[in-house]
Amino acid sequence: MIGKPKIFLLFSLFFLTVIPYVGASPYITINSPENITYNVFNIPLNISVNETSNITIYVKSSDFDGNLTGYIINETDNSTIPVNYTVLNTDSYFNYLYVASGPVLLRVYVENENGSDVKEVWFTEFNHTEINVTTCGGLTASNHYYLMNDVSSSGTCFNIQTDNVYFDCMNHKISAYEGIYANYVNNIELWNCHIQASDTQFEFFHIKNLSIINITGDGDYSRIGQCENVSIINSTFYCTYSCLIISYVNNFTLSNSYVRDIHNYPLALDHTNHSLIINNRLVVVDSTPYGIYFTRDYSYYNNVTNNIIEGGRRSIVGFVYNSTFTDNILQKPIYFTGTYNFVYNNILPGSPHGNNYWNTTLRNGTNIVGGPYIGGNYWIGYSETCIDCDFDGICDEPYGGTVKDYLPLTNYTEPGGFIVTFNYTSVDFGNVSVNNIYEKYGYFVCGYSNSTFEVYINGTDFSSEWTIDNLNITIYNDSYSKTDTVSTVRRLFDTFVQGLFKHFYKFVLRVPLIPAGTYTSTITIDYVQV
Amino acid sequence: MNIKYLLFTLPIIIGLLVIPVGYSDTVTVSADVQPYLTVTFNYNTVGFGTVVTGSTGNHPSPDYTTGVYNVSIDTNTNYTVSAYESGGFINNGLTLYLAVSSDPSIDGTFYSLGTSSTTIYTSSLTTTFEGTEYHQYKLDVGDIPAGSYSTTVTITYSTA
Repeated sequence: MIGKPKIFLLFSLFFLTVIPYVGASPYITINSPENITYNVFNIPLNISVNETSNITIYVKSSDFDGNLTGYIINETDNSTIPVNYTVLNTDSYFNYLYVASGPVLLRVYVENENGSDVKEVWFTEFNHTEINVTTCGGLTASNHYYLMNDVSSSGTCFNIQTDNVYFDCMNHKISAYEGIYANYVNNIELWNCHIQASDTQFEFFHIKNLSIINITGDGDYSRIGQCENVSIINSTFYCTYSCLIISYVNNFTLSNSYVRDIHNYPLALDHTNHSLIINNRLVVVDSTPYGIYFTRDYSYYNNVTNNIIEGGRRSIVGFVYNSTFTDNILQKPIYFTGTYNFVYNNILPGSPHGNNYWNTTLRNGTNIVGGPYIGGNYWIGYSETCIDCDFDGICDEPYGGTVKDYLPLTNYTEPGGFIVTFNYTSVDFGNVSVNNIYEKYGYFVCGYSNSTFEVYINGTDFSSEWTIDNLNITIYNDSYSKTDTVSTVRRLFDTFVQGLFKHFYKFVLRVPLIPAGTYTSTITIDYVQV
Repeated sequence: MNIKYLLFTLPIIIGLLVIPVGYSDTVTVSADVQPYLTVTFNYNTVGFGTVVTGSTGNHPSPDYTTGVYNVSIDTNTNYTVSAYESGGFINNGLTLYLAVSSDPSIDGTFYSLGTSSTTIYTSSLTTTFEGTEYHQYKLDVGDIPAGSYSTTVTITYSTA
């Protein structure tokens, strides 16, 4: 009898104990690849994280030679995030394209306020024999080949006929009708070649894992088709009638390259998904082609970022869907036949159109013209002159017709000193009748002053019979309103305190009994810092 | 003056010359004042009764005496006046006399009314608005055969 109350008490304590909730540490999983032997440089890394918000994820590598390039692709909006970058409130699924050199230990970190996790994956090279090459011919074994001198051929110079081939041209020239050809092989790396082709620089078909690095191509028609995991890096192409033609390729990367075409498209993509086109300069000489042309069949989930595209009729055109275009400087407009593309933080002419998104959610970050927020695009012809009363580097009004960029960028000016922007230069009452009173809105003045400032107003008479004192002006905003009659004599309207300001103007016109006709007065509005 | 002293005082003098910083905008305010024309007639029928042909006294309408006006015109624009009769009087036997308050020079000007509309007056307002005008009309029956006559006289005021 004595012990029963004690047991009861223990149970009561157990059930009444309040256990505070502590959020779980994030847990990261590298879905693919596992530790692999590789000879390609473009390694897609698939990561999952159990937390979906407020996490920081970054990737570090043992390959700290300064050439590290890698990007996390957020599957939610296809935005590309450089390595070692903090992302918040992201989705939990990422793809990572890693360009490695030599054996590499890759570490993927995730952390939040509750803890952290890290996973590792090793990439090591396969065993091979190093072979010197002095003439054109077939590369028939899985080895490392080194071109020891310039070579030439009236046909195809090199035909790669087996998997796992590393071919370094050692900066020698290949002069041929066709430079390099490969079909139905995997894991190919091509380095340091100067290909001078009378017809085709190279053709690669049905290849999984293809890297083309530090290549210079003179000629036309570099074709890559029916491939997976293709990278062209640090390369230069000079073409006349068509340059890079990418067709039915999954995971295509073009980075840090220069592509110039005279009569046609520097880069044409057809049915190509999950591309990363980054840090390139694409130039069209003629006035009619496009810089990047997504041709015919549909291309999805591509990422075009931080490129400069010059010349031609349009910078980017075509059948592209659910793709992201950011941080590009485009000399000519975009025109999408496709839909659901995200286009923000670019400098470009033209206007928003189609069923696409022309701004992202406003967030902190240095935008492409140096402003403090990421939002929409810098539209050449609009952004230079749009009003930015709150000095945030975002135009106060959206840009576009039916389809809009709701956060167009403008030149950022940090508030300081005395900055005044006047909006509109005319106030037209239109048709008016005698003995009536009319109101007109729309004119406003905004700016910033670091000290007290004054507003002076005066105007000219409409005519000898219609004096300017028939015009009243009201300056107002949410917390201020004052009305006064205009005079031909410049006089103080009011004094204002320092800080950001926005003054709306209401013009009230009294029309007396005067002859019919058009009347004009010039009102002078002065903002003077005291 | 000592050069050192001058160098010392010059920045102070420059510092005291505070030049106001200002921004100026000129705004064009414009309006198109619309023309209007308001005409008030103070009669609509004229009965001559028995008249004598050739007499200049056949002007019973509307008490053609100084100071009594028949039409008032309020406008802010130039206008024209035209008139015609419907044809009840043969041989243009009806004459219209017009006097204008703002222009004594046309006092008593007469017009032989026909069936076609004829401009009988064009105003000449200057940039100085002249306010309300008053027009006075007199009708006179001319030398026509004996008989009963009836006609409709239409007087139209239009903005120029």
